Amino acid sequence: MRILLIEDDTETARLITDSLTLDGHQVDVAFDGVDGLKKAVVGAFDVLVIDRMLPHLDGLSVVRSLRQADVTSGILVLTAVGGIEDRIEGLASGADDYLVKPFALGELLARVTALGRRPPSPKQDFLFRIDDLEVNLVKHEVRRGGDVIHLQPREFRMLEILIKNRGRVVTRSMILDQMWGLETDTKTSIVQTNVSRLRLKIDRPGDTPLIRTVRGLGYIIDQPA
Amino acid sequence: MTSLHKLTQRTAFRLAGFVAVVITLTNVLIFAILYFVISEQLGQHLKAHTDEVRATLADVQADESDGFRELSAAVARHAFVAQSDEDIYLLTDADGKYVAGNVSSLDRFEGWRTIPWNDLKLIGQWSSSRASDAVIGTWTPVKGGYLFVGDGNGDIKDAQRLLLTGLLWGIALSVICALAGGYLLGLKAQRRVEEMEHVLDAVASGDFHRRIPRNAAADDIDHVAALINVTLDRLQRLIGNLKQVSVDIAHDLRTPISRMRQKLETVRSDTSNIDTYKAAVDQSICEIDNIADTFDALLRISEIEAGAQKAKFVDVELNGLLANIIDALEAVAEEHQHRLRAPRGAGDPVTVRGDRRLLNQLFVNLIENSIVHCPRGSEIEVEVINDAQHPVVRVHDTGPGIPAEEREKVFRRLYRLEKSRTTRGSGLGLSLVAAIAELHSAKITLADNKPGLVVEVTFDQARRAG
Repeated sequence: MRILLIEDDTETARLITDSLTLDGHQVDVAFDGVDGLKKAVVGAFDVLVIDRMLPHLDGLSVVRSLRQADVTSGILVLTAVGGIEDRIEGLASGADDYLVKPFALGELLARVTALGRRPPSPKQDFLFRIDDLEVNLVKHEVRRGGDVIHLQPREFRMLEILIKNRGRVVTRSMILDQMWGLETDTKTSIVQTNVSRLRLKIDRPGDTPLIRTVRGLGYIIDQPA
Repeated sequence: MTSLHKLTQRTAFRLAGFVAVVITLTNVLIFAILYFVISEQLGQHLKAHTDEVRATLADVQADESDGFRELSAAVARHAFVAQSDEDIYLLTDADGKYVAGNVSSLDRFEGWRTIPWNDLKLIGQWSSSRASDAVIGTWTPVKGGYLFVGDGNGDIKDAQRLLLTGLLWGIALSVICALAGGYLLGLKAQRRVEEMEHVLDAVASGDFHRRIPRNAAADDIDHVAALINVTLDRLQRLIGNLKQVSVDIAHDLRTPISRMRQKLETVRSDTSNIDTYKAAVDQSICEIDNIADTFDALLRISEIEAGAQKAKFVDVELNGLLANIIDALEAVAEEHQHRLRAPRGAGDPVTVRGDRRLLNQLFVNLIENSIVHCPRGSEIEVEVINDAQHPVVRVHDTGPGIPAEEREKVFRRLYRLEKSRTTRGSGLGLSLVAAIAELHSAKITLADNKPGLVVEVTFDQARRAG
């Protein structure tokens, strides 16, 4: 993917660029709002990662200008101010996602990847096949090696989220948000517990494990290596 | 600040002056009315008296056959005693020649007329001091001549002089009173303003506990004082908040940071093993995440306490909100072998004004607290009481509960029960709950579930927070 990073802190910019490049993306960097806005309008980027506080033109103004100029690329706003108001304001300006510093680089990668996702083809929309796992989202039917697996509605929704993002990491906070609309931090392992239950039903003893844990970050469902 | 003094002084004096002018004008007006009414009244009285005398004299003439001579004798008598009364009599014959009376001649005229005393041709001994400066009188035709009877206006003059003296004294006294009163009121106001200044100066130099003393008179200055006190209360709360955050940050963030630093230093001096390195880095990352979480929670609490979100409150349906949270937490509760029970009769929508994210946070924190602090196999039940005015959400558990004397303290920042100090958690969960409840004008009470704990969140829909 082509990614534009607008970030005034050179060290942070370097770390993020390295990490995104390592993940196979093409990264362009701008160090202030005006330069970033120019680059964003001219270059066709898949995803824009914009810091909230920028010299010359602040991040949210850049986002607003881009949306007014009909730039439809996914936009992720980074911020050091994680206030409640702040987040709402960020999303209201036209950003697609919001990440508060400090963040795990893995979380950034996962969210950038999710933003850059191309719309899946209609056929893939409801029928997924990974190894010998078949998921039919319309019929709410799950089969593993031909056997029907009975999932609770909650487990099915979880599988749906994972499988729509297959091959990509879905972080715990993304799951909390998409499953229950919770943006709160929790002190219990809500996501872990629920994924474990799903995993018990999907990856039975003897099956090739499909749901993998990405340590400290989240989960991924993918073809076995 | 001295300019404020001058201003109040000026205002007080201007006020006093204004009052004095108003009082003077009022006095003058009242005097004018009295003057007119009394003069008129006395004039009427005088004419009535004159008429009476004329009637008496006319009777004298009518009763006697030799009327004119009797009349002239009566007039002469009257004229003789009239000097002290300042009455004027003149009887003339048909040609207007003097017959009797105390003036030698007077032009004839119709009706009533006021004749200046100095124009009278007086006969006889008259005292040089007179109350009257004019005579009001009229001519009456009598058989064989004309009779003039007039009365000095001394009574009227006396009354007028009296009124005038009264007026002058009245004006003098009321102006003095107005000026003195205005000045005293001004001084009082100035003292109140000075009081306010002292308090505000003290507050400005850091003594945030000072308040402007209120007085019983609910005047406008007292009203301003009340407003200033409310503002100071809020200011003090916000500053206290800020101080608390700084202290919290110092306490709760410095400790893990220094711990991390020591750990990194130790591992830096030991280069033998890559795994030790990795472990130290992992621990540090974990520590940093905790620090960031604590930091976030502290900031969020102070942001909530500042109360800006109220403006964006929407209707939030509690049964749906809680069902969703229970759906999220059910698996975790089961892992702890708890039984987590959803609200019964979740059919009726129970709506409150609020912020969905924050209410989510509130109930997640409460239920998670029960899940974490209860021994395995406890019962946790969430209950919604649908009351139009005061909807209530109760979270019951059968865990260890909280001792009565600790119940208030648990809402304090960073407060943790001694026994839970070893478990993970920032000690901010319930402070956050308290802050969110406060923002929603909801009351939180902790009570004994016998055994266990009941947390009751009572919303106040009568006030419709926001």
